[in-house]
This record gives sequence, structure tokens and C-alpha cells, in this order.
Amino acid sequence: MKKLLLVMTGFALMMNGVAQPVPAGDENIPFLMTFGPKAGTSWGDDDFSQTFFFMIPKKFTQAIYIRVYDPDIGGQCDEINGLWDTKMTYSVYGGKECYTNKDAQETQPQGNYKSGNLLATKSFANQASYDKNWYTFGPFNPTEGEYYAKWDAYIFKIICDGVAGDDGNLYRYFLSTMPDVNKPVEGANAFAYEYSFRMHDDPNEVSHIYPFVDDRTLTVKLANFDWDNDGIIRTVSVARHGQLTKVSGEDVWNEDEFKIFDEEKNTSLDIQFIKKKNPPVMHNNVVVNVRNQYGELLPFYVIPIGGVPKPIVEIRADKDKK
Amino acid sequence: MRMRNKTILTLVIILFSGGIAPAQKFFSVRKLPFDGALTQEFGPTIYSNGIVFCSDRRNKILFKSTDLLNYNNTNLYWSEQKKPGKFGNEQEFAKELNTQYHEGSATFSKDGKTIYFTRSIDVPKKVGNSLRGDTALGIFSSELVNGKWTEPKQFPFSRLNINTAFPCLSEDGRQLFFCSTDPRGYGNYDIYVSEIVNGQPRNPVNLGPKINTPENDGYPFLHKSGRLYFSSRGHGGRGGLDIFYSEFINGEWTDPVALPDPFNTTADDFGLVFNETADTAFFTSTRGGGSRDIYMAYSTLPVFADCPEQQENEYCYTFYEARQTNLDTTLFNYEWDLGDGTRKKGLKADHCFASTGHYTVRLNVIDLVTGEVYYNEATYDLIVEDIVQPYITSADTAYVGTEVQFDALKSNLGFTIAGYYWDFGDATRAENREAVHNFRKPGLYTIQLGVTGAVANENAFPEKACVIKKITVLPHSR
Repeated sequence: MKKLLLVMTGFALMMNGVAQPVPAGDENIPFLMTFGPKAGTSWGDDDFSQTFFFMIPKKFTQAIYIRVYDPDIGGQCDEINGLWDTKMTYSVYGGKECYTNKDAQETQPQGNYKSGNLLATKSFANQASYDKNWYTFGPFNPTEGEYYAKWDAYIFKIICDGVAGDDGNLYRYFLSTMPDVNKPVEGANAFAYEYSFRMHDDPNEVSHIYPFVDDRTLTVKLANFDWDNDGIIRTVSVARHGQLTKVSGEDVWNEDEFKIFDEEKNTSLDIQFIKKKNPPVMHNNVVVNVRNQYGELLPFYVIPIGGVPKPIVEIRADKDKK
Repeated sequence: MRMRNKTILTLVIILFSGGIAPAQKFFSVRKLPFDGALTQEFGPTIYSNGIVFCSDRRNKILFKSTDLLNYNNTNLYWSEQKKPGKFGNEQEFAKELNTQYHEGSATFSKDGKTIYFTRSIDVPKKVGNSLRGDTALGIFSSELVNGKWTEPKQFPFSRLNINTAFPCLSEDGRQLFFCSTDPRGYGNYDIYVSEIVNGQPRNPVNLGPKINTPENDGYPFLHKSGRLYFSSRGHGGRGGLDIFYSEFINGEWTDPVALPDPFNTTADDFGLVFNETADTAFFTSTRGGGSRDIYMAYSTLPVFADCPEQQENEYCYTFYEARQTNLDTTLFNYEWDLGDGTRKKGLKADHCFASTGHYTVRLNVIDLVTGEVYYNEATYDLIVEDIVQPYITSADTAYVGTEVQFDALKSNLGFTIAGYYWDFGDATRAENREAVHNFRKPGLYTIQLGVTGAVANENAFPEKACVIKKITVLPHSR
């Protein structure tokens, strides 16, 4: 019962969220990242595709918009590789199995990962008009998403696929109630099963992602790709003050597996990406995913379920004996 | 003539004098029930689970035995103490020891198998000799064999021309105190001590002028605490025979101290014996109006048993963060604000507070990787208090003859203390929260402090607690 309450509390918090920037403020991640398919994976993107889901509570009935910041590939934000020759396609899906199809919840853009009804799609190349600017998908009726009874919410999927070129696309999303300004959808959230993102160049900035650990989770396997040995990756939770994990180097995966404490169930982990100070690593891109003991991926909510986990610090005192 | 007078005087002492008792205000007295209004009972001694005493009551219906002054001869009687303060019917102590002449006060070895007692010397075997004028008092001993006392043997120093009486055997059986009218003494009865070697008393020594006076000094009783209780008319007091005590320190007897009320009165008070714990005594007194009766003095103080040794209060603690696991790397440090102005850094903090009190310990966490400091990540309310126990504050070492201050001010109990009771381990006691005591002999003393709580009504039992503390008393300081 206690766990159930925790779960419900967690989702209540999630549904009460009001910020749908992706990445979100607590994550302190400057950009999502997808490279063109011609880029080598050593640039930091392992599969040239990124999928995100937006969850809109059923009780929310207004039109929604999915906005993309700097959707093009060129200009000041993106990462050039030779010439700007990259093309990206953003596709929004709703309807049946847009979320529940198992391929949609995997890391690799394989199989029926584009499941569901295609609601909108748009491709971008080097287009100055969208540099540091927003493109808006929608409006969408929330019911166009896939209804997921467990959360009593409609789910939309957006996939950013690199379809040509070898440059890096750095971008953000915002789930909005307005087409031209970012106005959050009350109670909504966003999540992904694999996170591909750009690190800050400032070594003093610490980025975070927050995988949610459900009550079935006994162990987790934390995998990271192309971290370039840029400092440390540390896991913090309600029960963990700071556990270092194995970090990856250039163009390789590394992974670490550890047990989950009972008190961590139905909470989020805080995976911290702490850059080394010297020498500073610039333009570092990294991909992260976390699986449980069944091989199932843990979702990264941009608004962490249960809030940002804070390690419990407890003082105890022993009376000295003679 | 002199001898006759001595004999008579002895009888008078046996019948009319006698005792010693330690008196303190913590005692109440009451007359024992078997004292008859027309008979004399005196000279109690503790034996087994009762008392042996002397009485001049008639033990034969048809035969009345009197001495030269027409006083009834005395015999030894026994009364069992059924429960504290409750005595059964008295009966002759041992028919094989009692004669138709005087049997007087007795003493027993610790195992109860040897008796020394006072008896008329040269007891004639025939009734017709009962009025012999040369009968003196002597000390006799007997052994308990197969439930019967053997034929008494006369104390080797007993003689027909002097009275030797009132024996008291030390607890270790190595000393026999007694009284004698030996003319080489200080006058009338004096107290002597004889060493017992191989069961035989040797070399009687007069206790000297600190104890003995030209008046009658008698009824010695050596308590296991080392105090010699005796009775005397020669040391002042309240009148008649009074009970005194003295201690043998540095080769000499200390000045006798008279016991206060309720032991000594203006009447004759004598022949006191204490039990081992010195909380119950028996003695003889004429305070009832002429006849000698046996009184029981009993402590009015609460009884404290199985008192634990006092624990010293210490206010030292080790603080640590309890949630860090062995999976966590040591990339954190802690800054401890210990609530009394002390700050320490480290994964643990050892700290001793100066005193009791309420302290709020705060913990700042320093992330050694990012350099961030998380202030007041945890707090801990610590109440530093004394151990729940009565607490004796005193010097651990003291000198003989020097006042030692005791107090119970640091006692910490879960009830309001209504009474403080001190036992200084030398058969002296005191009340009140603070006390002063002067130890008269060197040694290791066990001080006991007992406390009681208030009671709502007289039928309720008060809460009690006690501790002991050992202190060393050294010989006189220079």
C-alpha cells in the first residue's frame, strides 16, 4: 500500500508539473542532440535518432502544440562537420501504439519505432530563419494522442531522425498551449528512454537526468556512450549520496550495474554529469540509457517523478563508553 | 570482704547494669515482648535466628534459687525471631548449660558451635551449697557436639577471688573481650582482651585508661566494623550506665563516644549488640521503671539492597552520518556544528560536551567534486544528561580524621527525591542531600547513597534507588 501511495504521489507530482521545456530546468542540459547519419558515432550520437514522448493528462482538453527550438541544422547552435549538409525530420505521432508499441520504447530506431498515427512531420536543413528560433507543430487535440489508462493520459511521440548529412543538430522542445509562445500544459510531462544530449562547455556546469525506478526494479544497468572521459558520472538518490559509475571514452559504450535499495523504489535517480576542470572538454555529446534486470528501459522524465531526489542525511550519535 | 563485694557488684551489674548500643536518630526502640514486669532480662546476644539472653525468672516450679543477696539466680534463655521484630516464646537456651546458680551473658563463635558465657565459679553439685559465699563469676566455654553442649570449661584466668565476666568473641574468633575485677586494673570492672590461640585464650590485656575508668566498665561488644561498644558509668553520659563506642586506631583506642537517643537515657542502658549490617541492635535498659528489660533498636531508614556501583557521568559522543553506504565514494566531507560553538570537519566527529544540556547538532555536507556546500542537511537534537542514578559527589581519597564532604546534588532520577540516606560503611549513617563524615580508621570504605521518592499516602511504597562508591581513607595526613 505504501508503495502504491508513493507511485500515486509520484505521478500526481508529475501530472501537476507545469514546465514542459525539454530539456527541463533541473536537468541543466543545454540541448538535445541528433547527428546526421553520415556522421561517425565518434561525434557522440550512436544512432542518429531521438524519440521523446509527451504526456498530457486526460483532464486537459485544450489544443496543444509541440514547439522545436532551433530545428534547423546550421547557424550558431548546431555543430558543423565540414559543410552544413544535414537534414533532419521531426515527426509527431499519436493514436494507437504510438507509445505502447515495444519498438517505440527501445533505444534504437528499428522495427516499428515510428508506430502510431503520423500527425505531422517537417524536415529541416540549414535554414537561417529557424536558427535560434521556434517551429511549432499543431494544434493537436489531446485525444489525438494514445490514451494510456495507467496514467490516465494521452501520449504523443516526436522523433527527430537524421536523414542526411553529418552535422550535429542541437535543439530543444517545448510542449505548449500556444502556437507562438511557450505556455506550459498544466500537469504534462515529457520523457524518453534514451537521452542524447550536448554537455555544457563550462566545466562548472553539472547536468542531470532522472530515470524513474519503479517497484519492480531490483538492479539497474547504466550505460553511457562517448563520454570522452569528461570527468565523472555520479548517481545520487534518496539512499545514495554519490556513487560513481564507469564512464565511457571516445566512441564507446560503458556500463555499470548496481542494486537498487528498497527506499529508491518509486523514486527517481539523479544521474549527474560532472565535467572535469582540466583540460576542459568542449562540444561533448553523450548518450545515456538505463535498463532494469529484465532489460526494460527506465524512462527519463524531464520533470523527475517525486522531485529531484535528495539524499537523506541522517546524524546519529553514539555515546562513548569507557 | 572485698571479693564478696565484687561478687555482689557483679551480680548487680549482671542484673542491673549492662549494655552498650550505638545510637543514632535513625533508630527506634521497643521493648521485647517476653520481658516480665517482675523479672530481670538482660545481656542479649544474637545467635542463629534469634537472641540468647539472661533472665532471673524461675525455671523450676518447686525450687527457687537465689544468691547471697537473695536475688534470683539467672539462666540463659532463647527466643527465635520469627520475622523481623517478631519473637516467639522464650525457652531455656540449653538445659545442659543452665544451673541453679548464675549463668550470665554469652557470646558465640561465628559458626555457632562454641559458646563463651558467664557463670558462677565453683558451682556446687549439691543444692545445699547454694548459699556459698565465695562464689565468684567466671567465663566458661562449651562446644556444640551432636546438638548438645559439652561440659563447660573454665576460662583459665578466672579465679575465685575476682570476677571475670561478659565475654565477647570477635567475628574472626581471634580475640575475646571480657571484663574483670582484677585489682591490677583501673578499678571495679575493667575491659580486657585476650588473644585466642588454638582455642585457648592468652595474655589478657587491659584496654587501658581510654576505655577503663575507676567505675564499672563492661559489656564489651566488638562489631565487625571495628567499633567496640561498651557500657560505663565512668565516661559521663546521660546518667547511670550509658553505652559508648571506641575504635582501635593506630595502636590505641579512640576517645569513647556516647550513643545518643534512643539508646542512652538517664536510666541504665547497657549490653548492646548489633547485627552484622548495624541496622538492628538489642540492649538492656531500665528505662521502663526499675526492672531490666531487653529492647530492640531498629533502623527507621529505608532498606536498600543490591546497590550498583556508581557510574561516572561522561558527556562524550561520536557523531556520524548514518545513511552513507559503502557504495558511496568519499567525495563528500562533513562539517559538524556541534551546538556548543564547536565545529569539526570529518566523516565522524568525536566530541565531549562540557556539561549536561540540550544541543542541536547540525551537519553541512561539502561536495568535494563540485565544491558545493549544502548547509544544515541534517540536524540532531541531543539531550546530554546525567546517568539515571543517585550520584555521590565526594573525594575519592580522604584522610583519617579529616572531614569528607558528600553530596547528592548530581543525582538524576525519574522521580522527585524526598529522602537521602547515607551509609558510610563504618556503621554510621546520615540523612540529607549533603553530608559530612569523619572516618576514624584507614581503609577502603563502601559509601552507599539511597534515595526515596515522595509517596502520595502512607500505604504507598516510595520509589527507591541506590548506588555505592568506594573511597580510600588513608592514615592521618601530615
